[in-house]
Amino acid sequence: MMKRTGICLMLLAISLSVFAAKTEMTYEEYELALAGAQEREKSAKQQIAQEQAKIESLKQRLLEIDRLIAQVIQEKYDILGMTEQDVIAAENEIASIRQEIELLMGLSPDELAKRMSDIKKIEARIAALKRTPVSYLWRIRDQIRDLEQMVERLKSMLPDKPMGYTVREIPGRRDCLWRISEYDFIYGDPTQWPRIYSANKSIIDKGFNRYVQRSAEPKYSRPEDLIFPGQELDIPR
Amino acid sequence: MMRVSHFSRFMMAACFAAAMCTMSGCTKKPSEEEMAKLEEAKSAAESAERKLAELRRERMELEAQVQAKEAELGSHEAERDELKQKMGR
Repeated sequence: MMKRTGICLMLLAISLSVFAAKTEMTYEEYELALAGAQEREKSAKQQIAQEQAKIESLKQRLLEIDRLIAQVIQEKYDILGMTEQDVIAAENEIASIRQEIELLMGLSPDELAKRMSDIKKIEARIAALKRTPVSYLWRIRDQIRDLEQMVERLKSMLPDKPMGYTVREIPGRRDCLWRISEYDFIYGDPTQWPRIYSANKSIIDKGFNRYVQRSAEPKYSRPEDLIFPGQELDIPR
Repeated sequence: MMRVSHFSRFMMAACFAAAMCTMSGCTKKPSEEEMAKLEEAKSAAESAERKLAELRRERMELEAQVQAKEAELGSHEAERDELKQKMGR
């Protein structure tokens, strides 16, 4: 019993002494630790000062580059004889055209076929944009190129049969709405000619009015009876 | 039996003495005030190191921005030179 108690006390004393040694720092250790921490702080503060100087220099550089970019952009505008407003107007026009194309892309092929005149108007707007000095700018040029590709995709969605017909000059025969409507690749049915006339009324009437003004005794009395070689007609589907 | 008994008593005494020496402070130890000063110094060092890490991140981001802006400037200059050629200026 005494032996066991002694051994337990012995083990307890050893544990306590080890524990005590671990938690308590000697003064020497304290001084080393303090010096170490102070050195770390000093070194970090020196590096902080260096980093702050580099950061300031980089910020100055960014300001300088922004100034140079603005200067070069103005030089480009001066070369083309235009202003920032012209660029904004062109970009707005591009956005508007893009929106219209996207709307048309949502239509079925047959519905799209009925909107040929809208497609032609879009193509005309793109052509007008390409004639402006602003189209020389790379970012505008790239956006116009995107629009043209979108229009090609749109046109590839149209049904197979031709959507347009150019009035021809046929020796010994006159191209007319009746005959055009009769062609297999158009309607295959001559009685459908009023659809072609309705879709192209403005072009046909304009041609007819010019004919009437120039002729002393006009042979034809109705616009739908007279079409001219070269006229481009929409064929509604 | 006698040897074991002597040995046990000796060991008990030796361990007790060692424990008492350790716990009662035979060597010099830092005071509570000094320990607090050490903790403060460690805390200040850690704070400075955190600030340094933040500044390094900021510097790297700015370097990336400068690089991107310089590329943008180069592109604008190339476009301007092309326009000069095209427009004959």
